[in-house]
Amino acid sequence: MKVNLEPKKNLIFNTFLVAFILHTAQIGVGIAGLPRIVFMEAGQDAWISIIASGVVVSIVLFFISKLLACYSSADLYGIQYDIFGRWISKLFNLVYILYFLIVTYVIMMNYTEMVQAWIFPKMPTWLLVTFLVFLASYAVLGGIRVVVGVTFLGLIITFWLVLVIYTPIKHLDLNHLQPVFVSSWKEHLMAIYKVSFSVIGFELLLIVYPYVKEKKKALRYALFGTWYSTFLLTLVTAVSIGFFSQESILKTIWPVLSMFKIVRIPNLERFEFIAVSFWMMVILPNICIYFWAATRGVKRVFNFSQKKTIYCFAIALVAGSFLIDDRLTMNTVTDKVGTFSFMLSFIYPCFLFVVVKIKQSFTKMKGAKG
Amino acid sequence: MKKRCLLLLILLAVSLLGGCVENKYLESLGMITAVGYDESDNNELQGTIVLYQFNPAMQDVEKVLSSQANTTKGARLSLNFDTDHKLVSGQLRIAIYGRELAGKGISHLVDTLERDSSIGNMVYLAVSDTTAEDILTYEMTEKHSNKGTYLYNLVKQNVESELLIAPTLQEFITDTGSVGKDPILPILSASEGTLNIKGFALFHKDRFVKEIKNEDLFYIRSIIENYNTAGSVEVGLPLEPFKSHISRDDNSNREEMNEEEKIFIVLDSIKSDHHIKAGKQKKPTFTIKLKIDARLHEITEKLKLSEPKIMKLVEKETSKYIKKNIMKNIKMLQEAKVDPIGFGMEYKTVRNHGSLTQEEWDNLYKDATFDVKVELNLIRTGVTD
Repeated sequence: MKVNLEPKKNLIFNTFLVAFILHTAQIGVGIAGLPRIVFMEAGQDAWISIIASGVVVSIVLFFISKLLACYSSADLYGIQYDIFGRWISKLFNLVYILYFLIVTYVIMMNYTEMVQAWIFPKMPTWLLVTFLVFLASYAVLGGIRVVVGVTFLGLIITFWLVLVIYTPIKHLDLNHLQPVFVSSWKEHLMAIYKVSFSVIGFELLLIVYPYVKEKKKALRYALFGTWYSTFLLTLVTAVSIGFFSQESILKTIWPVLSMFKIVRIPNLERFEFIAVSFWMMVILPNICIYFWAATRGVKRVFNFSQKKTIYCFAIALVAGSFLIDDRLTMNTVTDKVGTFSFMLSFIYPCFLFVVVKIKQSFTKMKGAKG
Repeated sequence: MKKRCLLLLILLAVSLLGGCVENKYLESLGMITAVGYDESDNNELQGTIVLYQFNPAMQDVEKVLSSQANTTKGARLSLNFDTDHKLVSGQLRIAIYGRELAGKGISHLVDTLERDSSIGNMVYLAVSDTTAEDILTYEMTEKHSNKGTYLYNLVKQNVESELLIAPTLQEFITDTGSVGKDPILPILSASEGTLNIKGFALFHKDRFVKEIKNEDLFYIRSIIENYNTAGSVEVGLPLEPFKSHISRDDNSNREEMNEEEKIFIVLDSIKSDHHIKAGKQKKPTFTIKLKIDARLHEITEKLKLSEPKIMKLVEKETSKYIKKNIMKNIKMLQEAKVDPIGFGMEYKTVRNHGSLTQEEWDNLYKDATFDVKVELNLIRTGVTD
């Protein structure tokens, strides 16, 4: 396996698209339930924790970009190969491949649950998952450029959803947010940890990096993308806290969707039905990019045909949809994956950066001696 | 070509599979527009529903059903036996709770409305003067196509003219869930062949505690929500300070005036702005500032309103009157131990008061002191002076 990739010219995309990829990978099903999860930890100061998590993400992104800058055009799979050698790297890479696949799975299952709770209580899980898998496979079969196109369009098409928050803002009670700065450090740290699963997606920079046109500017656009996500997350959290009473935000599973319940358009009584359906456009790029990352990994590590991998993984995902059918299991699984995501997206890249630096200084020393 | 065929097949499958989800045909649905809950004997719940049913052959599209069960959804289940239409609650407009039931607390009944994703959060809640069944089965002299929509429009129309606080499910849940705030719901009553809003029910959390008259709500509402040019109020000022300015055609009447006599003014197009600020000390103290811009709509005496001096006097006296009434109402709320204005919530926003619990607030509330300042501005006097 080659450490550095030299993708064909026609596969390389413009640098500014990194912002779209990271943003759409970050914003998905998580945002709908996030306000409640953070509120449980940090109370009315939850929105501050989210800003803090944005800072943490920026720091990790900084390390990631430094790590990538050590190589000319490598991705995570290549770097691990370079560092850990042939066999150990295979294991580590496999962990990441499975992780990306499981995240795809969790996103789809969570979205399906949302649809079942809001619109079609009788719809079988596998049905929607099959549709989603079909769409995602279709996109991923087209390769990285199509996937990036999906993220770009996904953001453009769903951008207006942000404006809908105007109605809940009208019903806001600022008293719910006061007094500010009452949560302790510990609570904020716990909250940041809980947010981590909702803000993952930035680690995909490790995978798409070789395809970026101007690698030096990648960090800047990556930060654009993540700070826009942080802004959105902070906005919905602050508005939800102001909108709901303490008691109800603690028991509302999807505060963001429940807020949409009050939006009323003259010819459309129940806006949240549109919102839930449209949410598919929010999660589709999310699924596509993770699905792509997983299948891409198989191709890189095991040199197995990506097309066949896509079919295999697609079948695995649909089969997996039969495994979970109640909210409690779903919650436990999501929590478990959340813990993994914290390790694999936040901690490990920074750790890898340190290892790479050490290795490089070693080889330099050797070079100087020799 | 083969690929295209495959794609076509898949697209066809996708669109056909879409039919696998539940179908609902309008003609076979009974759309619930209003529900009412009462307490029946042996502690069961009496549920009454009003529904729309679409049947081209029928004249009467409204139907009222009633049954008893332990839970609201249980009542609906047994109601399902009484109709040939499938009951759905997506068009629910208003939920009415019987007076007795409301007195015992309705949070578990409201919870089921919130839990149901098919019910919007802008559904209105109301309390019945007697029982919810009385309201929903009442025969109005004027026939309306549906009682649910009639009641909904009754409330909505008054909310829009800023005569009530929107009694939505959302507001109710938010108020009962917040420390130091209580909801207010309208009381519906059936009299003289029609259904109307008789007064307002003050709640303590989810329990109906006290009833107030329609007139008093203006003063309470003025410090809960701002008026935005739709509100109006009638005030009765003592005549005494105006005596020297009254220009009457026949002077003979002047001798007959006595101390008791009043001058009535109606203000409308009220635009108000209120500020409540809690003091920093442990004992709750509040400063309430209310600024009102209004138009003078009617006056029962002839005053030369073009003169700035008289205008000022009217403003001063009216402010005084409004202030007195606000104080009176706050006292009343304090005595009833209800806090619809949300003083507790205001108290909680002060630093170090953040850990306030509802019980603590209930104890503190009765000793709270209030300082009310009202500033009235008459910006117009209609088309005449």
